[in-house]
Amino acid sequence: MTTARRLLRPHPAVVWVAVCTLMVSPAQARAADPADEALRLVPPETRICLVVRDLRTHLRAIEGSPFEKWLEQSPLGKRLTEPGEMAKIQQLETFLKSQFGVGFDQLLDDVLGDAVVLAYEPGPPGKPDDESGVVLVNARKPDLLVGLVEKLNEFQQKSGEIKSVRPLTHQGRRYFGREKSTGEREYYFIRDGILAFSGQERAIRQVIEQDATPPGKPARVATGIAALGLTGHCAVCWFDPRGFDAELSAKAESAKDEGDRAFITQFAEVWKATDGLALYAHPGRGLELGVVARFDQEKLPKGVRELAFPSGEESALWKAVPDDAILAVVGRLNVPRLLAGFESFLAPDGKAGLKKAIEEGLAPIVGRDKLPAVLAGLGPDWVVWIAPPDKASDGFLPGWTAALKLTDDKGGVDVGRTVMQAVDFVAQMARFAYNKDHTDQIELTEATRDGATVKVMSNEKAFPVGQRPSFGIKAGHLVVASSPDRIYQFKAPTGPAAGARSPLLRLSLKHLRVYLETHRGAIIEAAARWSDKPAMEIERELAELSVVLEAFDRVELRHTAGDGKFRLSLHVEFVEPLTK
Amino acid sequence: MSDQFAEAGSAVVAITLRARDQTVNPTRTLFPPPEVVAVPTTGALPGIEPAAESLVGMPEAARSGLEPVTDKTRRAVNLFLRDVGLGPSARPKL
Repeated sequence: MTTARRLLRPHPAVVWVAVCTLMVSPAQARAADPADEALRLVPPETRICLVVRDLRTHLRAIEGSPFEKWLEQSPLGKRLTEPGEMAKIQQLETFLKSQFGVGFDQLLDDVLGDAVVLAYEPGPPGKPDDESGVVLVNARKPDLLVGLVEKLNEFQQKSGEIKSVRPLTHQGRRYFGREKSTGEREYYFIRDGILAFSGQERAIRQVIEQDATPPGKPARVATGIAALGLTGHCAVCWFDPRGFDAELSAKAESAKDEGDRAFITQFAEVWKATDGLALYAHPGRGLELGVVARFDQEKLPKGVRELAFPSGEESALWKAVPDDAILAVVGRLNVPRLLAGFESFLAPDGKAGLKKAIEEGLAPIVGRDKLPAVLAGLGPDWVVWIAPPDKASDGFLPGWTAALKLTDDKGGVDVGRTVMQAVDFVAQMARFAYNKDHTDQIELTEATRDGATVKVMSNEKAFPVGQRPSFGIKAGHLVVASSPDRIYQFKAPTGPAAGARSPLLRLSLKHLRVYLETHRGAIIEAAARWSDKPAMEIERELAELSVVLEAFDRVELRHTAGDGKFRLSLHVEFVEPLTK
Repeated sequence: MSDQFAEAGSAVVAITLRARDQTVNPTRTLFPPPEVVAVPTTGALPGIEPAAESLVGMPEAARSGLEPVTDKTRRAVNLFLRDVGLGPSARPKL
């Protein structure tokens, strides 16, 4: 068995459900999509539904992939598959083969490989324990399922785990009840390789009722998943927003704190505008994890709509991020819209506080008459990144840079000059606050290179080695950085944005590992100082972390919005492609 | 049979926990405590504090707003684990 099979082997619970079946009727024509056929049978009041689709194909794509080959040879792979634990897993497979005649591979390929669905219906208001759930499996080989079930029932009755298995009837269809030795009961219905299993009898009866509906009718959950654009994804957990409306409204009404009530009330409005919601996971070149929500944009509060569905292109500032950046976050900002969006979630007191902060904290610094033009001139593009320290620097802490595009010509206000004065004022205040209480003093100096004037704060005691917070205006951007050199190095991008799917955030685990190894000694020394752990323990932990980091290239957070759909997705890229 | 699944399940859990520990613990150590990286502050600018308080409370309010969804998801997971014999048992329901 390959590493992928070993690591992605079926969970015992799922395996158990797969073999917990009884007689099937003669095979009939199967639906074109096994998952859709299983989804057609979920109870009508299902509010949460997990669908695992075509697991066989996804696992085959991982088997023998460059990443799996790498993992098998890597120290990480050897650690993950330690002999003691692998032996326990192997024992289970041996047990399954001896008692039921199937191993993990066959279970994955022929029983669980097409579709597994978990459907959940919460209890009615005030009766949460009256919930119900059903597990549906659409197996590729019904005959295999029959054999497994017969053997399982025989085995469990012999071992005393099950006292009896008896046939029951609903709407003329046969299902079965199993009485366990503990007195608990469980039920299942099976036909054509489809197994429905539940601890609640009414769930099985609902499945039978659903099965009586015309096959051509689109299934509610399948339609909801398709509307979110997730039909082809491996694992999808779908939520029916309407199942939570009443509870959310009640929560807003009962909130005691005024701020909480305002927030939840607005949140409930957003929720009411949500037509569908799902979490998903999908393997491809890497692993993609995400959340998708579909909104009725007409119902969405205006402030939220403008934040969630911004118009215009993506930030061009990815082009400014150096190749060796460890972490970078890039976005577009519309300050008036952002403030309006935040305000819509605040209680009157909070709104007043926000207004006061702007009028009393910010307006006097930039000038009340200039404030609207300055706020409108901030952005829209912004970027923050962290990169390894300069080679010339003595320090080991990474350097950082933040840049914000400034847009002039807003009502004749020189936004760049005004913002620079405001930042200078804040820096002077910080310098004053520090210097009045310390014998060592922060210096604030000015330097010019290539036409860019940069203000530099320096104090060897107040700031870590290599860190000299600096700020300046360069190429129409306010740039704040850990050293003046980083401001000089900043290059404003020209031309359009990097791409239509450029991420919001990128964490380069490859560069993080290189950084940790390059500065290992200094990091261990510093971490031992601030964590009170022995240096040897930190060295061991770092070595373990390095082994884990070797498996990854980068992690990206992406956001797409359009056609009423909002998607936030995390893309994990491994050192080698995850699939063939 | 339950013992066989429990043993194999515990092995998978052990592998997962070890991978988590080898990632999370060193990462925690690498982050210096706030006092180590504290930078000079300006002191309070007028009017900033009340606004900051309003905004700071937003994540907690968001968590509270999502509670109906997170609670039911948790209940769903517990129910499925219970139904397949991996969670605490419950009274039979008809």
